Amino acid sequence: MTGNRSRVALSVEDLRVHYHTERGAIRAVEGVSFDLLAGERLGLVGESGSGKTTTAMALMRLIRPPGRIESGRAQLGDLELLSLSDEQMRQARFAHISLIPQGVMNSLNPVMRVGAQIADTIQAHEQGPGGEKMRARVSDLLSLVELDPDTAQMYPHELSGGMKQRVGMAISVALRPQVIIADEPTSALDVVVQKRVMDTLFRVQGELDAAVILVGHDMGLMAQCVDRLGVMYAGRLVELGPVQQLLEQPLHPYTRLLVSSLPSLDRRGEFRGIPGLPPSLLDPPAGCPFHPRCPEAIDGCTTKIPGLTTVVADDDSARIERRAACHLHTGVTS
Amino acid sequence: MPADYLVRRIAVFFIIVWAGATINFFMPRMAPVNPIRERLLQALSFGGAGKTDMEAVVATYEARFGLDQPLWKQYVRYLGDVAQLDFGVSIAYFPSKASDIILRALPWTLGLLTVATLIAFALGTLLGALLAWPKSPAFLHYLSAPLLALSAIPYYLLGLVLVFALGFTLRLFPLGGGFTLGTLPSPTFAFAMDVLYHSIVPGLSIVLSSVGFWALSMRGMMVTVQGEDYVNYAEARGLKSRDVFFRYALRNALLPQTTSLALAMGYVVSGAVLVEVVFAYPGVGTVLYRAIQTFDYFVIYGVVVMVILAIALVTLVLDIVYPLLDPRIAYKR
Amino acid sequence: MNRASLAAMVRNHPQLVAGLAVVFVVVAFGPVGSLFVDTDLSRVGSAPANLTPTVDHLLGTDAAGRDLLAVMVAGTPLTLWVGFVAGVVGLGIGTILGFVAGYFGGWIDTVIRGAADVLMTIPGLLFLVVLATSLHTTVTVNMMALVVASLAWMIPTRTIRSQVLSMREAGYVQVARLSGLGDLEIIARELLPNLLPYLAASFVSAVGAAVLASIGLEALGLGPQNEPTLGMTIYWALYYTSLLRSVWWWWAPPMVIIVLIFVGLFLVSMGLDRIANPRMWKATS
Repeated sequence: MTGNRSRVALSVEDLRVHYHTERGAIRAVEGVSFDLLAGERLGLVGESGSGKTTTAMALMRLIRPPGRIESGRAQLGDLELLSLSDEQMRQARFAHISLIPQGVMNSLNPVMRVGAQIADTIQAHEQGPGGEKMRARVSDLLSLVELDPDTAQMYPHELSGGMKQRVGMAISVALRPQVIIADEPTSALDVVVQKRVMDTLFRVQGELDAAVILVGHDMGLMAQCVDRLGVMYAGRLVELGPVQQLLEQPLHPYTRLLVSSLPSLDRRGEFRGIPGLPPSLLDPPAGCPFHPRCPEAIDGCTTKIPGLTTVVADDDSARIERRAACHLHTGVTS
Repeated sequence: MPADYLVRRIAVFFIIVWAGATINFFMPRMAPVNPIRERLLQALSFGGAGKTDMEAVVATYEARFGLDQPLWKQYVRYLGDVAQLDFGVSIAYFPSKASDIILRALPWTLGLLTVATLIAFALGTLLGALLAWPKSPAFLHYLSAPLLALSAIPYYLLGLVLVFALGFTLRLFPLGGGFTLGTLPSPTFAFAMDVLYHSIVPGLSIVLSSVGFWALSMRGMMVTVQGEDYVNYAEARGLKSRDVFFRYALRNALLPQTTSLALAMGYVVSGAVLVEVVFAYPGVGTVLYRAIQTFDYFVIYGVVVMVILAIALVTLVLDIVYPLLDPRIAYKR
Repeated sequence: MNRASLAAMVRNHPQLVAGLAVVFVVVAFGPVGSLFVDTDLSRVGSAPANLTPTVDHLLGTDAAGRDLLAVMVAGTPLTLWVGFVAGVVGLGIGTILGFVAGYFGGWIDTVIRGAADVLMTIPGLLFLVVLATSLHTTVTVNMMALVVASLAWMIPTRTIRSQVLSMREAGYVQVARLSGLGDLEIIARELLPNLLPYLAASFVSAVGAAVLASIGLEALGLGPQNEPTLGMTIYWALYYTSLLRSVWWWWAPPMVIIVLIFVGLFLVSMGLDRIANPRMWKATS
């Protein structure tokens, strides 16, 4: 099982996304690399503007002008997502990599029945299934996410927030993708519903053996949900590691401040940020983008940009490897 | 369809008709001298052959609006008459009833206007939608500029130019009228073709000058809708861009567009009334024009109430059709 | 404004600049023309009737012996004046009602919005016909303007109301309210400045609607019979069936000027709309 789980589902290398404005390029994502292992749940956290949602959208190839994917690779099985043609990418969406969107409340077409919206996703990718077969398939999907199959006949405004979220989930797994990106999927729901929706998501994920990237800013939710956590700051991944160790012994000073700013009880709740302002992405400071706010900055921090390097390694499995982009952790200290 | 929605829309229908009728009743009475009375007295004083006719008209008028009655009684009685489509008699064409004159003209107006407006609405909506679609062919964008410029020109002025160009100069189409003079309206194919032939240029002037309006408005709706989450999500799901366009963006942009069709009816009718004058089309616009020239007050007020009634009906129908397009309506206020 | 910023203005807002230029030409036509043309010739019987264009009468004369060039020079400002007055009055009423409805809400909003919606459904022209025939003494240009203004307030009311409604909930207004500013102060200091582009656009469309309505009324014969406005000129041209007598110099000039007015106003309002709703225009242009 351990060996199997170390298989890489999606490998992201040096992803860069810039928004080209009249005042210059906004570097929303600047050189992000990580491996998503098969079947794992990877969290991406960061303040708003840190590039976590942009990273997710770039993997779906949904960046719109003036934004542009400047460089990078995203290897998903045989597919390199960033070099597919538009039509190939269209076919890959939801068949190989799917998305549970951030604003699921408004993401369903208000004038179409729920079932039709599940069905048209399937029809966009597969020839033929129609009529009774399609109805059965939609029913199965709704049951899978613990909704009554009759929900197919309802319009979005007739559903509660939690039910809409489950519909979004049903659509995201309809074509059995290897990777599911969930972009703050529960931020609009109350805590009780949140928990139950996430439980369903992970049960479904397990049945499909898909890998999940969970994007969000609720550290408490992350702590409960994911296997590994990536922390983003100013468009860069600054720390990546197993969630337990990362929260207990953060490597990067930013992560440390983030964790210590959490309410202590069970570390639950949203983080409220840390002193100082995030840097301008239009004109980032030289060196490490965090150095102006960093209490532990040393000489090199103002000039050299630290790369994401392995701090704690394990030969057997990438699962417990710990990486950080900080000059305080140059080299491997086993 | 929820009952309270239906009740509310029917109430709006009655409010519109009531407002129109009330304006008609009070406006002449707010003028320093009652113009209807003036006109009747003037007609009486001319004497001559029509004198007995005029006396009959005055008698009817006095019986209805006799000043010996209190105003509210006159008003209630007037509303009762309007409810029965009884607008009194024509002063110029005594003893024809105003309602008969108007009802004879109404089918012409409704036919021309409904067909022309629906064509303009459909064409304009489609064009506006395509203008907002990144994949539409480039020539559409060149086509849009002149159409938008045309929408800035009043219907009837465009009508004048078209009559001059297509009718007078090129002699392709008749100069006016609803059918060839000397033929009698009959339910034959030949007559239908004749009517169609006569309606092309007036219809064209309505279509040409309003298609740009609908295109511009639809384009705005499409741009708004294309920023909505459900369109982005449809694209994210790998739907073909044609499906995203037609089933997600277009379908939703049509809703506010339909609402503005109901709101624009008044504007459309105002323009069409003048088009009829330019073309001497045998509809209510021409009836109104002649009535104004002879100060045939009962006919004028009758036309106003009838047209308002027709518009209120169209609006009511649109409002009843609307929930079929938008399933959310039952839940909105 | 220096030359560089003028060039930038032309580049960034081509419709607005083109529209303003067209409107300016039409506005200037009357005053400039009267320097060269004797406007007394626009009176009935001031010249021989039914002349074709000659050097003396560049656009010929009509059946009542009016020099048509003089009619244009005298009539264009009259028509613009009707539009301007009606636009000012209509926008004034509309702004006040829109503010009251949008800012205070409640039953007063329901009443104002309902009245505007019902009156919008009624064809404005017919309402004006009733009003004008009821008043039928001798209509003057200013009466005409007020008659048209009585129906020019609904669209501004709706626009301003919905803008105020969305702004009322905006953060900066909430902050102003919390900091103890009164309603009038909030309206004057926070809302009005942000509404300026919408007010300008509403004014332009109100003027356009007023000119359209006044020409419509006049073409039906309900205008000032003794004034040479553009609409009355069209009315007389129709009355004497000039169209079928190939006397283009009678009906074409007023038509060209009217079209210029509408195209100019249309371009200006499109330009203003781009300033007010920049998002609307990004997608395809």
